[in-house]
Amino acid sequence: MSTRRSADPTQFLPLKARDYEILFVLAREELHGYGLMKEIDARTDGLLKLEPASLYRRLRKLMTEGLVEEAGERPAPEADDERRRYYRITRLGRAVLSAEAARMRSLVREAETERLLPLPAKAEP
Amino acid sequence: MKSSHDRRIDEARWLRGAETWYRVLVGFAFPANFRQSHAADAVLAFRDLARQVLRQRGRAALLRLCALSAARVLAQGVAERWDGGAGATGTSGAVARPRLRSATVIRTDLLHALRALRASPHFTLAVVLTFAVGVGVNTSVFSFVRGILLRPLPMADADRIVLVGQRDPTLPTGVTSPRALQAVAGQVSALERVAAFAWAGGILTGDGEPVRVTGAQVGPGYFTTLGQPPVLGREFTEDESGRRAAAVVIISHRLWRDRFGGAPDVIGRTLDLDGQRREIIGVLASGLISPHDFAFGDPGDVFVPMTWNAGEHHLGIRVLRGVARLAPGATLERANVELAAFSEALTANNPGYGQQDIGAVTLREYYVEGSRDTLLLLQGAVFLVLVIGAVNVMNLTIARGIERRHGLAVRAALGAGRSALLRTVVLEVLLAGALGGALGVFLAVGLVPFLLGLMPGNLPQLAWVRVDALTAVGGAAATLLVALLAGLVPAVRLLDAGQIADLTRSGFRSTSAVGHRRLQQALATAQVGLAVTLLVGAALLIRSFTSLMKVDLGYDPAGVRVLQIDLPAERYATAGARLRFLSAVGERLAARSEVAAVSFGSTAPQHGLNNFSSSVGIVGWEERNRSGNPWGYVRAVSPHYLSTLGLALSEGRAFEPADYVEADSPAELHMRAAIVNAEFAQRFLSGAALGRTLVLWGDSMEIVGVAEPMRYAFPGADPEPEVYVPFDGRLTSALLVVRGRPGDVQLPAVIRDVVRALDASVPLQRIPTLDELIAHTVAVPRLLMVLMGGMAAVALGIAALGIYGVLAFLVARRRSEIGIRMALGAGAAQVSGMLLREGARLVISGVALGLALAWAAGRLLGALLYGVTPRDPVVFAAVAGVLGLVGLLASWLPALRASRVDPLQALRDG
Repeated sequence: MSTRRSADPTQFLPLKARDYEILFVLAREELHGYGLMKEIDARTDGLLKLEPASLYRRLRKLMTEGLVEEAGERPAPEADDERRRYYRITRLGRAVLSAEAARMRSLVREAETERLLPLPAKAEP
Repeated sequence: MKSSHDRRIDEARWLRGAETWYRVLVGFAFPANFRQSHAADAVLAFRDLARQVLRQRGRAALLRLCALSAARVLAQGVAERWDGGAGATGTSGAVARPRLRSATVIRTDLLHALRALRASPHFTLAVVLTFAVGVGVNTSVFSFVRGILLRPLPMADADRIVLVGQRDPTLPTGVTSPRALQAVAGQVSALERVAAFAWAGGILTGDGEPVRVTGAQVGPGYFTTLGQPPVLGREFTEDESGRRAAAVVIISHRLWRDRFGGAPDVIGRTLDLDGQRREIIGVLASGLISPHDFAFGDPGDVFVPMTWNAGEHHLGIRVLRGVARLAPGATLERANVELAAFSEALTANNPGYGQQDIGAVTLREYYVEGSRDTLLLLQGAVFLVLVIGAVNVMNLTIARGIERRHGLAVRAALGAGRSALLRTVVLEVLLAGALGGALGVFLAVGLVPFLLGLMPGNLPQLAWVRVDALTAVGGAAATLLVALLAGLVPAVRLLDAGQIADLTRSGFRSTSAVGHRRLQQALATAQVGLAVTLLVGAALLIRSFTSLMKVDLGYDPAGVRVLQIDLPAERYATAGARLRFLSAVGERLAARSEVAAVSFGSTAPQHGLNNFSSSVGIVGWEERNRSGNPWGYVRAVSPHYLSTLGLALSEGRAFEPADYVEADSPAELHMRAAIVNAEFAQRFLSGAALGRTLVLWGDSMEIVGVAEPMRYAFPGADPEPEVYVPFDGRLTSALLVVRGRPGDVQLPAVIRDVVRALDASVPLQRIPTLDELIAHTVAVPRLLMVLMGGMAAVALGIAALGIYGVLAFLVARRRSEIGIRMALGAGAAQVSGMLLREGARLVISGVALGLALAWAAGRLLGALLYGVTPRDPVVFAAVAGVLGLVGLLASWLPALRASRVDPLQALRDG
């Protein structure tokens, strides 16, 4: 029976791509499920499509881990003004997100050192 | 304004449908704790997504989304269950203690189901067998439907390849004249690359026995039009075609492999066909798809240049069919409109050559037209068998559910929720069904080759009929769907909310039994009804087949054998030489004691050779505008041909030796006398044919006799006009028609000996009896009859089991009631009468339902019937009678058992 992990953000790394996207989008604004789907779809140019059921599975897992929490219900103006449940990122979630971003930055650095990527200075005209 | 309003309503309806669909999916796939916390949100989000998809990409996209969601949601649900369903309960940030892991739940469910199945082997066996048979036959028939009807032809742009010919009577599959085809190529802009083909064949000599080969003569570009140019070498050119066609040949892949060992340098080598040395210029791909295959019943091995030259023959010479491609942008409809106008003009400008009615049909339609009705009927029938079986499983499941009510009640009392009990019941049927379905697919793997063996094989698509991954998946999907339904319906019924309470309260001895009984009766009624529908179909086909077999063929097939003789061109160069040889064979055979009668002709009943028609002139013809210009099937025959076949003349005389001309140069050939059949006389000469003068192929001949019509091809077809002329040896192939003495088995050997003694270089083939040829002609209707009969028998058996099951169960359930009645003085007769009445009610309502269904479905069968209407009262009455009898039998046993109930024992047990 697993219990809550301690609050060390690095324990959650590496994040799955879709978890990262959910956290990233929520870090900018509170959103309801469909808003999240649309936002992620747009951000990734359709590369990452979340099916409602799978989105809510991820959300549930992120909530269990304490990275996301509910932000109450309120009408969604861009849909039909029906009440939606909104979600927001927790402090731990934010910490995990930046830890993951830092991890990815180090990955990018490594790739640059190994000449797998052009260095940013050279890439800019 | 209104329309936008309508659109909104429409949209709302679609969205509601999509939402419900998704809710059901999530409800089914996900464990309860997820459903409680997130299902509603997920459904809302799906509706938003659905709205966007519907607005931006339309209904088709929405339907696709819904279909895809099913797979995704199911996968997510399974993943969620394996993850153990640990998670939040929905309150903000709270962390729930995970409940019993769902993986364990699934495992427990499976174990329960397996244990339950093992505990009742009869039930398990019944379900497994039902599904094995149901899925087996459905998968088998579906592999035919897929291979023949659904699978596109393998050529690029196959749906733009058309067959061009004279309508016969509605499909343009008949032969037309070289001249007309050439005009089509020049004048019909919707068609391009028109290429003609006609039957060809010959004797291949060289090493070993002479071999008879067939194939086609084809116009330039024929194979390219079909999208299958030779894999080696090239096609014929315009210069190589015509009366003095070049001595070149294109060979089949089969011949290349078997005779030339697949040699890559075969191009430029030669083969001897009918004594003529021909240079091989091309080798065709294996598995060639071409209409000559279908038209002549053989894929063919040798292809020679077209010898029919459009410029040299008038429009009455109908010997060719054509293939073509639809021009870019043209549709089949446009091509047919153009062809109709073209035909009309051609007929008007060329009076005296008969009605020109040329049309086009896609190659695919040409192939499948004849089999579509049959296949769809079969698929429908086997599906009905599966449904009847599934209904039976439902009934069994209900009965079983009631029987194990104690077990279910115990589980319910121990805290198993409604869904857990539901899952158990459904899983049992699903497991047994899946096992049966798997067996069924294996069954199909064996059944399909068996069925293929029964098919007369001139459909090229038969090569694609097999149980492949897709048909197997189709079978599996059908299994799961039907099994799910067969489990779900009774499970939901058994575990209605109220009844769960019953379960826990009293281990149920409750009133809910009435509801079950009604459902069981309804199911049994449905079974009987569907079985009746199938039985009516089968009975109609049987009656149709018997009336087909009773058709007066016009000749007597008993003891007649037919041998095709192809005379090598180098030894029998003139018509006279050919006639002399055939006459010699006839004379020698006539002298043998085994032979009752012998003759020869260009055609024979049920044999495809030389079976062509021609327009015919009639001198002084005044019956114009009655039934079109005269035409007839032309049959060149020896003097005793008609009497050998047992055909009497209704008027005039038979051919006499004086009617025959023995000619060694074409200029001397002419015919003097003709015999027409009664159909010709009636249709074109108002019955007064004798003494009139016919003009055929430039010869004028007097009609000296009128014969009864014969059914040369399909026995069910209407008689066609026929013209008999004296056989003069113009044709290099003829059919020897020999009637043996009754019971003589030596006849084929005698015939072979006589021919071989005269000339060993003449290739000999099988010598079938006319009865064998007829059997081949009617093979499809017979196969259909046998298959439908078999399925109807299975359906009848299942329906009888269904009636028996319901009543037997009733007796078991009402044992104590019966005991009380008997204790109060009811006699055995009264008790069994009660049961029999119950059975009769089921049968009568089922039969009524089935007859109504069969009445409504009659139209579907109409095209496949001969000599019987789809609503034949005799058939309907007979089926009702049979069902009544079987129903009575099925009710008898339970009734008997009821009457033997010992009142004391029953009351004590109760």
